[in-house]
Amino acid sequence: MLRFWRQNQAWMTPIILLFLPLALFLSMIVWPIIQSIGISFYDWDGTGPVRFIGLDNYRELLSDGQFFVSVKNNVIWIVMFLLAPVFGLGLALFLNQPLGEMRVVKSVFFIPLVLAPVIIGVVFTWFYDPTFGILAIVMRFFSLEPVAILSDEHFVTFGIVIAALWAQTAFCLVLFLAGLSQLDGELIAAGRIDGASGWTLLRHIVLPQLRAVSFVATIITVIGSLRNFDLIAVMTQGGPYGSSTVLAYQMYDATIFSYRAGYGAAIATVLFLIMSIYIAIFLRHTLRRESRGA
Amino acid sequence: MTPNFSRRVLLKGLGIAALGLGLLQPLIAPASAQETLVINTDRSGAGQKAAMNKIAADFEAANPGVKVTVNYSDVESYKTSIRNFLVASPPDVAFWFTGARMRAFTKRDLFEDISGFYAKNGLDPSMAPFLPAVTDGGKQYMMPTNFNTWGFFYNKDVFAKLGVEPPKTWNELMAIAEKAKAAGIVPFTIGTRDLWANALWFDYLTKRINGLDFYMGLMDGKESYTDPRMTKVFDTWRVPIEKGYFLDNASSYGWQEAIPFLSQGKAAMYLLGPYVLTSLPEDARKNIGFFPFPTVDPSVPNFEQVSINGVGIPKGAKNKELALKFLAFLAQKENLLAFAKGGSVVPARVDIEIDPNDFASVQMQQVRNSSGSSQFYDRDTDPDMAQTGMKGFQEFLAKPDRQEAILQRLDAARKRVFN
Repeated sequence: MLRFWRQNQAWMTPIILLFLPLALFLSMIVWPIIQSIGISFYDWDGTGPVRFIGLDNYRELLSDGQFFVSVKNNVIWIVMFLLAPVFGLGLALFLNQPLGEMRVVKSVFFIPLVLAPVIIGVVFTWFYDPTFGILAIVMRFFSLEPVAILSDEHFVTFGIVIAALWAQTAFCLVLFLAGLSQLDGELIAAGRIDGASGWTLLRHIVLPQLRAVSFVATIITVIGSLRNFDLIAVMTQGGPYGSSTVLAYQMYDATIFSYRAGYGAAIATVLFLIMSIYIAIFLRHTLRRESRGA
Repeated sequence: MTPNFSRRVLLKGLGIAALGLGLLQPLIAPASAQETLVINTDRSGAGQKAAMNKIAADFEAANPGVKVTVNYSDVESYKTSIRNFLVASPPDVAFWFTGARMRAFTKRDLFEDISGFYAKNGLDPSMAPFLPAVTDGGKQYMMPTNFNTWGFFYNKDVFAKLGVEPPKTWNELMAIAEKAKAAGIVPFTIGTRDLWANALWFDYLTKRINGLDFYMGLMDGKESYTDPRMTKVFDTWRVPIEKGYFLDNASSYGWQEAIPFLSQGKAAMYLLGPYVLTSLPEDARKNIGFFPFPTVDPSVPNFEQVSINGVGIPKGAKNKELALKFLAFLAQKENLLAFAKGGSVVPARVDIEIDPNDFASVQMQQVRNSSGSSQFYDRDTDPDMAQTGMKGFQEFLAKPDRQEAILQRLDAARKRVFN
């Protein structure tokens, strides 16, 4: 037994160590993905009999006005959400000062990170309330007509994204603060001796060292923007009349409220494709730049 | 030597764990010998919760060895979770809506057939009027617990200030609205974020303009949303919308969030159910009056909106016998009355004496005066259709000029759902 182990240790160790994570990954992630794609070819209410309908669900998607509203909102989410790493970096640079008082300020900025998204949603809903909300009160103070952000089909998505940005910025801030603490002090000192300061120092000395952190922050932000669901569910339930719905919410709405698991799965598949393509392009781009930089 | 040793430790550990599990087994078993009845319910308002807790405690006292667990959930989240728990972790008793909402589950074989229950407990005659609502394919799947009607709740102070009386006709209602609007008061408060409150306007106008048969045909997908009769409904509905009689930005508010406008006198009326009363504190309740939906077309009888709630036994329930026993217990006059009273609704038994001072008697009178009734848009039509429809009504309230596009969208959904 022992001898068998000694002889085969080299190839068996990785297999044993990889078994659990791989099994989990395959059974909890890969298999459900395959299953969802499979379900998207069926007409199914979630519990009853299934009927194969081929590509009909996808054909219906293309004639479904709501689908395009969702895609449009997803684009708004991605573009606006990319402000989170930018704001996060700015705040991190500002907060990264060796002052005792900064701790208090930092913790203030961390607050949204410890709050559950549902709470953030509720707080912002009250904030936007067109009668009793702070926003309305402030607008009335300046004798402006209060805007009902969450009831306006043009503003509603932006209103929710701003609530989400608040939390996402705090998340990026933490990442960047960690990155800043890892900066090579000697490099910065060398830069200063060579006369670099302000913008030049940031652009050529600090930012290149933060590349790995920025990469992670961006990827996580993009994925977060695509799968966002909780804030929409809490703040508007996709409304008014579906105008703040994104693909993830539409999938939920179709599956749970309309009893159409097949149609919901088709939406999920499209969302999965968009995510995969986006991440593939992003990864390729970054890896290429990385290899060039090296 | 080391790997061998650690393996032995591992084996020993596994052995102890197995032994431990084996020892635990008999410990778990006696606990389940005492019967547990699990009840999932969305009747979680303070009054009904207190009544339910008392009924559960009384049931435990009457059946030694039985433990009742009641899981309360709020109405809106219950609507999404029930689908899950009926399949994944069915309780022994589940409260739910009757009608199409129930049939959505019986069609999928998720509720137990309890047809024999009524005769066995002598409930046939007293519950007879409510049985059609819990029947699917000639079998009964739920026990009706209570029903409620809908209508206008108004602020008495505001009406006194405007010098108006509860209206009898649609034109009178519009006249009051005009007066209120002129006085800077919102005539109709409404919260459409959770969609359904708005469907009341649709239901009432459709029934009162085109009659109950047309309405039921529409619910069953036999009549079209692009029918000229539908256009008439929306043209009527559009008048108060375009005149700005409804609360602005209604979709920013849930149905409950719109109630304070009424109680604070910022709004005059709210077309809703007795939930207006149960949502308000005792002293605010005194200032709220009620009148039924006024006559729209004198040639069409006054059809009403009567929603029946019930309770059923999921197919996967573990203690079906005990669950039936509980239903029979709940059906006893005093229990059913106490339960209904907690929610300002009417018990679903015709042989229960109702306190004439209670709001239940007003609702009872409303049902007696009606020429027929349906339940509610999302309980009478297919859930998929209901979701699309209610979104359309929400849009109509905000953008009445999109009437044509909305009706066409609804009809496309109708064709898809009822094909």
